[in-house]
Amino acid sequence: MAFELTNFNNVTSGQSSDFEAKIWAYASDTDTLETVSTAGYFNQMKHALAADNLIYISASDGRAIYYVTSALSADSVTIAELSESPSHSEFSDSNFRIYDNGDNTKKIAFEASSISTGTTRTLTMPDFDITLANMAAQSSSSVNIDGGTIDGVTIGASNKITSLTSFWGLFESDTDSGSFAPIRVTNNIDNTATSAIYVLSGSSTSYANISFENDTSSIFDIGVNPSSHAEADNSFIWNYANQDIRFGTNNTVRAVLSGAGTFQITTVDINGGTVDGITLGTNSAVTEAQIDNININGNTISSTDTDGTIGITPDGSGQIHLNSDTVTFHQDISHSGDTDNKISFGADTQNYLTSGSSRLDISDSGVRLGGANTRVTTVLDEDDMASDSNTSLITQQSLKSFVETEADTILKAGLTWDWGSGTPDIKKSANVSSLTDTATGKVTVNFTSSFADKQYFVGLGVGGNVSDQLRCIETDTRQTGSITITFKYVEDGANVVVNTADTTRDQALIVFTN
Amino acid sequence: MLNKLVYTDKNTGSVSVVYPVDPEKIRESIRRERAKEVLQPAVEKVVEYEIKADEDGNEFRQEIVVQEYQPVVYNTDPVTDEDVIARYISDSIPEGIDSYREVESEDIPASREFRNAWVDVDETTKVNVCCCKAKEVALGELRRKRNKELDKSDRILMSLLDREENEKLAELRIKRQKLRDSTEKLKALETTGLFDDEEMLQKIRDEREQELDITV
Repeated sequence: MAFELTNFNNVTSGQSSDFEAKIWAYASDTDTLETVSTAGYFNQMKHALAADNLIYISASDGRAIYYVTSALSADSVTIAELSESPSHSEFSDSNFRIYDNGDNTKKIAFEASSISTGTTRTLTMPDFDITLANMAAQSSSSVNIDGGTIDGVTIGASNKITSLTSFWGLFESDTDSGSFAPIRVTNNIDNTATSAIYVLSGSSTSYANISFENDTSSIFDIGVNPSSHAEADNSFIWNYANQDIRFGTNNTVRAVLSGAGTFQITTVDINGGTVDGITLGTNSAVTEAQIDNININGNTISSTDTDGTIGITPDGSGQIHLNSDTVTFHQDISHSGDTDNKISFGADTQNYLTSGSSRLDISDSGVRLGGANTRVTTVLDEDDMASDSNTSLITQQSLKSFVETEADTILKAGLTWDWGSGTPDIKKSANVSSLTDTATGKVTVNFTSSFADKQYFVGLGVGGNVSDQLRCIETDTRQTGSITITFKYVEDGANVVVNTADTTRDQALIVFTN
Repeated sequence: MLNKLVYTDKNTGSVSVVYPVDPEKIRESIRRERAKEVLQPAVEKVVEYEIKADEDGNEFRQEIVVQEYQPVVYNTDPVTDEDVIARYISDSIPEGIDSYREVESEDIPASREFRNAWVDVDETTKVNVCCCKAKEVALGELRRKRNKELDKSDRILMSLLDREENEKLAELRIKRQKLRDSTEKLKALETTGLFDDEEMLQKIRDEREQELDITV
């Protein structure tokens, strides 16, 4: 396209002579501002234009601009954007008007009377086109009030704010990584566009957060990571869908107030202050109180029911453990439903009763069975029962040893041997320390423990295979510590002779008893 | 542990041999005797008392007294082998015996044939067999055997006299004289100073075992 003469008008035509500068207006329905601004576009008007003429251009792309003629020649007109260079750069606000190109009765005037004397105020245009009468229609920028004071402002008095793309609150830095404690209202902190209001710290991980989500999920979170709606560290979550309110720390639910009305608290730690005057079951009995552990800071569990029984009843096969070094009973421990089957405690006494009768009672004097007769004070491990106590019991070992010893004592001394060869082959012995071979048919038996006197019994048995010999012994010397015996036999029913045949066939058994 | 002991009777010169029977019982006996020595006596202790009044209003103290036995403290000193041997010797060696010595089984004659001839005459541990005593032992046995035969011959002699069988009487008288003389060879054996002399012992044994015949 090209310059259209009909669209080029002298705006100052008909004005007073004081207004020496010439102002032109050019409006193009077909050329854009870029086209209009090209060199030589206005060459056709070289005869009318003079230096420093002002041209107001309204292009087909909606853009408008002021140009001044900067150079004129016989063939061309050069224009430049309006600058301070024109000498007529100031106008009285009563003389300067801008009128509509279609209806020049529609004008724009400026009023500077309120400005302090000697003061210049600057009206700075933003870097985009605006229409002052309809700022709400602007969609790609913002109003930046940088300095001064805003007060007495009413937002949405007649109509609600239908859209608020982003609001950077007080003390907010330019980025999310600021070190302040900011307030930012946004809907895309996590790029999900699910929160209507989101209050975010400068760091997305280090500061407390509050989020309100839309009514489809109805989540109200306070926490480090509320958008996950999980029990993250130090979080508080009201969840409409779950119908509960949760408090969490360390990724664990610590308390849940459910929609069913129960309030579950993992641990209640009232650390300080006073909780008193609390009564459970005033109007109706507390039928069940499930408590994992009870820590009583006092010393008494009691009841107000006179002579009433306090029962502790574990469920099923549960047991009652009294984990204390000392369990103290006032008097009796009895079997349920069998009160005369009990252990009764008194001062330094314990009595074990069944059917009301004492079976075992203990006192400082010892232990007694059956409630009567001798008390036992100890158990002695004395093989010889030397204490001869009438209040002591004896161990199985010492009883066995004593009986065995006494058996030896009753037998007192015994010896069997066999003259199988030149030396005796001892078969068995009791209380015999040695056997002395004194002569043929004559031995001395030496006792380990001596007899009390010499009047002990002596018995003899001799084995052999000579049927016509009647054997006998003769005690040569009888002492408390030994006895010497001569074995003899009756020869041919007449002569008593010494048994000289002890070389191979004889065995001897000698028994001495008290 | 314990060896056999040998001692000699000064009066008879005969040897006695002592055989230990059960050293462990000797040890146990010593242990018990020691334990008795240190047994602590019981101490009486008042465990409970009550102040009462008699009919005259005089207060007296009624007490329950028990005998509290002190902990039994045994002498646990170990019974040594020396202790056992000392007890064994004291129990077995008669009074009046000055010396004794230990012997092994092989020191004792394997046969008791001449038991009463055992003596202890040399410096070795071996028990000796005295040939003189062995001869006496054999003489005793031979005499006993001979006497039995003489007794029998007495009955035969009386029978022959009754029947006046003079020839048999003469023969019997000769055999009876032989019986009386049967010990002469044994008595004639020179055994003085002989010990453990097996040749001589065999001679003694042969004489002792000689056949005595009174058949007529």
